[in-house]
Amino acid sequence: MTYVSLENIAKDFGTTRVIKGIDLSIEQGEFVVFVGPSGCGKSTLLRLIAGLEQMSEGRLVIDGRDMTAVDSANRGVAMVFQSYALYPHMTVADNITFGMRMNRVDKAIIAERLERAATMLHLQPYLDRKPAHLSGGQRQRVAIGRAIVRDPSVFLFDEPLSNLDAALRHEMRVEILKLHKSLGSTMIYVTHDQVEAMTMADKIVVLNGGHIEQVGSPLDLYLKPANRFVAEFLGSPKINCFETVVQAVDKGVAILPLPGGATVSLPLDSADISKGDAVTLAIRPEHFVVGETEPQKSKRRWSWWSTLVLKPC
Amino acid sequence: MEHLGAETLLMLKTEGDITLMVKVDGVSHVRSGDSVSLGVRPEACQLFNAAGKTVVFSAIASPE
Repeated sequence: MTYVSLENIAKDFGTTRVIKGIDLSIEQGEFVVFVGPSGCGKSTLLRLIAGLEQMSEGRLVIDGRDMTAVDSANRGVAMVFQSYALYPHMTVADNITFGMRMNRVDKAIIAERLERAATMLHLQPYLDRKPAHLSGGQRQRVAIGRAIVRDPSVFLFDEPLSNLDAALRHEMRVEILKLHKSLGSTMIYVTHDQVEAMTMADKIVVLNGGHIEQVGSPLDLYLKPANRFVAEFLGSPKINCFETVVQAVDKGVAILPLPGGATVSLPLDSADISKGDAVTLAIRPEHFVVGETEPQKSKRRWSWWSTLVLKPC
Repeated sequence: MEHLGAETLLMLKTEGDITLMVKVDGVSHVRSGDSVSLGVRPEACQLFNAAGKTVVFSAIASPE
């Protein structure tokens, strides 16, 4: 069942429309990753869900409640920022409990929630320290702890691992996933890092120029991209693309020339393209087989093309 | 070519000066300047029309 529903959401900055009518359904407990190049609108979309930006058009529903005009504080969402946004003069414990203390939550409940979050995030030894005396990973854990104690219906993460080094990023990725598993909460996670998107998401939303290019599971997007943008965005090194022209379409099978003189035959599902059409053929770097001799007969169904010269470099 | 240990990235130049990036497992014994042949399964190809939209095709082209 849909838990978070984005309905035709648009956002203008001045006369520029940066979010161009987004429709998206998110299930309860899903881990959804917004990914896309710089300026694609992924962070803006997250901030619209958080209520940190006002929508220009559209509607946001969370758990059956229309949140479009509801204040950020009352949407039941908690956001974790790339910059951590901790109070430098407060201890870890005070940072985590700050919101609850402001809202005059019962002291026993505060203590209980702090204990639970600190245990989950392995922060007990550091509760009396100030942020300046923590590593980047520990600071981000404190920021996550502050979100956990709010017991939100939706967690929002805005590039939370971008400031960490590679080893720590991997460690925190695993930790956030563990957290997702144990809390069972709905999480929306923004990143420009396709490794994070591929490894963390139940569902990836690929954004480009303020609209959605494709929504799907990581492997679906990787293996069955809806378009060239998604194919080129996911995968490192990038998918090889070459422009070619359809040589013939015979009984629904398209014959396409490969560089070097060979051809590849692809049985089309529909009459989408015909002879003479300009098309792009794309092959992922790991989908080639490199051999020094001609293929064996058993591999006849493979398309081979003539020898290639390794670029001297 | 780039040796990453677990994998090797080969940059191959084809006729018409198209450069292909190829990833192979482990350490490749191919050397710079070598000629190699390259295979690809039709179902590993992806096809896009002039507008960049995916053209869907079914599993495997039958061998001749």
